[in-house]
Amino acid sequence: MMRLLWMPGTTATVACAALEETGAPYELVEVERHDRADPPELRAVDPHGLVPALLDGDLRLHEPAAIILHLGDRFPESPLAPPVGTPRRAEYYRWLAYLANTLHTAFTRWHAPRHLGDDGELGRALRAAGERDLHTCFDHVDAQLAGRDTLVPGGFTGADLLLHMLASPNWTLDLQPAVFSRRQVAALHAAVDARPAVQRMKAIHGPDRGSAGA
Amino acid sequence: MITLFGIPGAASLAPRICLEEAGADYVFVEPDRTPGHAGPPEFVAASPLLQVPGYVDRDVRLSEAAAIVMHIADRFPDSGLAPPVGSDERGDWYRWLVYLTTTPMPVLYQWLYPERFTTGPGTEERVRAYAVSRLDRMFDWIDGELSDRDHLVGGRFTAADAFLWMLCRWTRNMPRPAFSRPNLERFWVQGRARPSIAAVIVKERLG
Repeated sequence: MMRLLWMPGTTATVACAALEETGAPYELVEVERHDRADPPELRAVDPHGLVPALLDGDLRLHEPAAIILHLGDRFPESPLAPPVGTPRRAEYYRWLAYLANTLHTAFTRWHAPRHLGDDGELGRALRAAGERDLHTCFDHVDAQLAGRDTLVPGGFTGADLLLHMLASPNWTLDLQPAVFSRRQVAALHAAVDARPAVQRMKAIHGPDRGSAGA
Repeated sequence: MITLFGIPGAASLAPRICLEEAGADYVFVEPDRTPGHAGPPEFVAASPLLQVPGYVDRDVRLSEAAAIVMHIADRFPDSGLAPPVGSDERGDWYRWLVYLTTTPMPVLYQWLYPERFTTGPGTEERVRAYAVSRLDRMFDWIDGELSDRDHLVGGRFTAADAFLWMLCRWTRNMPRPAFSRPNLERFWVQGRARPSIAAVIVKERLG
């Protein structure tokens, strides 16, 4: 059986939601929050030991986008991934890559100086640039969603789960009203939030607590 | 016909290596990115943020280097650029591509373009120094991962190797280039000798 190493309120939420979408049995293993003290550069270097970790046989996956991609292939009957070789599949890759390497990393830069304990000039400058880039990203996503209900046209995919997490109050903190002022983003967040699999995930992790981070 | 919009040596490098590896019929187009010029409509459609690479193939329009190499691997299933869908190796391949595009790649941009990542005048050199320290640790870790093999996944050259080779090239002016480490040096030299990479080096005059 697959196992998910998790802590409430972290990127484990999207891994958990993706598992719930597959309907496959899995075991949740809660991990202590000890790694919060690790410097982010150390955690970025060696992804092992990070939460979440999806253990599936000999595979050990950490990054939310990789977990979604893998589960979509393992469970092709789930709604996570469009069929291989279709234009929708290509679009699904594009959104997962963009959300993971641009929106997610803008959050990391906005949050990271706190983890570093850098309240000085550099920390403020990095945070400000990260916040500026978050607004740019959400504007882009909002514009791309014009005239459609999901990131990949034609229906829900695992990419919508990743955007749902990154637009949630756990991530956006005091930027939440600004993020939800993008109406397409807010509508997609609400639609994904209502999915039974996401409701089951939220029952496991508890309510948004506005305390997550990178 | 496939069109790859790119700039020599930029993030279009990994997709181009994959197209060469697949023996694809494609054209490489450098979009006009000077301010005030939106560039060819096909490029704008593929990459609304006007970032290279952009990729157009009939009804597929794509941006994001990692997404494009995954798509090329699916488009040319006989290329061996990806392990079979549903296999453990495929999961491992996703792990590597996602790691490379989310972790070293954005930090390489901080090293190359520090002014984009800070609002504080005069802090650029500190941004670069912080990026270098993080990249050194990432490439140390990758070097260790390659200690017992020549390729990242599945015992053969895949799109993940093309991506790593591209990132290694971007480190060539760093104090400690990625390929100054023993296993990455082997990976770098073997990569240069591959016909696909050798062809792109010539076509893009990468020296």
